[in-house]
Amino acid sequence: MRDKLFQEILDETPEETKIFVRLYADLVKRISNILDEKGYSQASLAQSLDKRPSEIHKWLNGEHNFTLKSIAKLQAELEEPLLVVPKTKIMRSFEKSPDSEWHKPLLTDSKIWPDGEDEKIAA
Amino acid sequence: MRINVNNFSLEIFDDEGSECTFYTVRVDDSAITETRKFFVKFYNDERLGKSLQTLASLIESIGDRGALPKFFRNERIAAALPSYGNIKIGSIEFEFDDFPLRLYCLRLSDNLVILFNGNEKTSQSAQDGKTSMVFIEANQFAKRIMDALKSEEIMIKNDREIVAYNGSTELIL
Repeated sequence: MRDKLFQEILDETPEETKIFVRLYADLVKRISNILDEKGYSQASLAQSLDKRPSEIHKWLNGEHNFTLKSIAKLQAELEEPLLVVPKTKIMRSFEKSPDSEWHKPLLTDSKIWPDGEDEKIAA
Repeated sequence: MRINVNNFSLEIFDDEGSECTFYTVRVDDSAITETRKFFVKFYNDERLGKSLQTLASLIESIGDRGALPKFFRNERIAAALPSYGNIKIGSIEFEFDDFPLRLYCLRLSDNLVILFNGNEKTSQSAQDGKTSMVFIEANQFAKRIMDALKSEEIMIKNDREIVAYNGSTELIL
């Protein structure tokens, strides 16, 4: 169940706001998980990145202003992707498999051109 | 006006997320819950309506990702949404440092959060300005709930549910 007014507010929230918040939440979760998995402490990460521990404290506690540059730096150090931008557009179409009643997805790759016009590479 | 935080019940606010259930509190026989009061307060507010939508989206996102500590800011026993910090990607910036609203809560685990009331942030300290009353109440609710968990008056079941000592889902504290 969900509070009715809360649901109403979510229904009226622009998609742009929802995407913005999901991206923020995904980034926080991703960084948090990688740091836990790799067992990074503030001191060890500070040493690796040649930063002051106080600055790393800010990074790890969400007090840092993340920029593309700082995300790149963190990504390089952690050796794990934090943000992934798709280079190609993946279109999924569905076709009924001959040996099964299930529908298997087929991948269709399209190159994205700067002016937004897509050129189909493979169908 | 101060509310009586000595008698309240716990009820589900949102359990539709895949990772986290949100509870809220209802004081005495109040017609609406404390979290509903917060949303009613800013629902039609021209200045803060958009921030309310952002906060609602954040709660929904946490519901599907789990209530990681980094999503919250500590406010004594209680916590608050949103967390600190900004994220800037190119020209897009998530500004939570100057976010104008605070919703107080108690984070029990990655899978359970109890939401209280909140208000507009009008001063540097949560104990001052418009948040002062709800900040105090949130900490009183949080203390009472933590005490009830310690004494096993209430218990966490299957990670995402709170039940009374006798297994009942009617949770009156």
